[in-house]
Amino acid sequence: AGKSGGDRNAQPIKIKSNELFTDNNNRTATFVGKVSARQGDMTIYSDKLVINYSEKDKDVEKVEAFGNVRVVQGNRQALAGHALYENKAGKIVLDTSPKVYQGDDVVSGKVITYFVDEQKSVVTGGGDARVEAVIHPMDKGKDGSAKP
Amino acid sequence: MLKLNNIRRFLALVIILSAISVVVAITLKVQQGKTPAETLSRLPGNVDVALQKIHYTETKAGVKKWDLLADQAVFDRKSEIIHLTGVRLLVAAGGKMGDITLTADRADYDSKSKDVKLVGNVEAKSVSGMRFTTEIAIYMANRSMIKTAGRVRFSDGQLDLDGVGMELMTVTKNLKIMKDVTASVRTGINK
Repeated sequence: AGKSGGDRNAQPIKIKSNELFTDNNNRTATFVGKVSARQGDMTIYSDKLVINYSEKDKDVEKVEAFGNVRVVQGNRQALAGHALYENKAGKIVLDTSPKVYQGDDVVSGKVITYFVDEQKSVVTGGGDARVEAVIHPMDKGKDGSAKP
Repeated sequence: MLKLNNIRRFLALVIILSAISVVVAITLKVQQGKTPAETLSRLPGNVDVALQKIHYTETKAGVKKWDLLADQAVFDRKSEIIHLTGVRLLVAAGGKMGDITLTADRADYDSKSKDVKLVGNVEAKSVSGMRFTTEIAIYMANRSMIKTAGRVRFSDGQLDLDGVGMELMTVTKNLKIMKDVTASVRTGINK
């Protein structure tokens, strides 16, 4: 992850939810009910969110979101039924009808890997979920410059 | 002759004054015997025993479970509850949490259920670095649990949070927050 990744990675994750359960044997903290989790400029919304701590240094190893998952970051938005956020690697793996929107463009497939610190997503298809992308070419103005 | 009469009158006066002073001395002595050095305030009707500066230890199968220290303890036999003020509860939790120290303005110890209900500025700290504050908390010894229904602020080095309603297991350190959770999860702790 780039420098911004290092900054984002060290920022705390601010979470709001209805309830919380921690399980120290399994090193998890489970937030349930209208969950919103924000880290830097990215926010994950879901029905349930599980924080997994690493055994070695008790740091956040991964964050798993379940149910009505929505990731919002600037003008990018991702939707899925399930998502796995690897905090250190700076990527979110989305599955269960994943879609990623950027402005009016949208991509979908079986699994989408969304890179938090780069304007990049990798879409893979499989089975009945082929890769699909809808890209809107920029409108060309009279002088040939692209209109925003 | 006149001189002799004066002497007789003087002697009579001395004798009378001596008699009076003896009577007064005796009366004072008797009075003193009745009034105790310090009068004790009468205990309220429902209170049987009142103690100052108490230190109570609860053990189970020879193992200490907790210590209860208080500035004052008042025992109500009818309800079998001890009402305490200026309270410190030291829970020998062991496990992941280590011992926990809870302080509060007041507490009620139910000698039947062995629960301790802490009321007013409840603060808790554990050896492992866990801390919480709330208004009312109940330590349920038999379930090794600390419970509150009100607003609670909790932190344990990984997680800082604010919520409503808490159940904290003192041995496993498992935590449940019932409502209205606002949390901050630290990341990159060891960078």
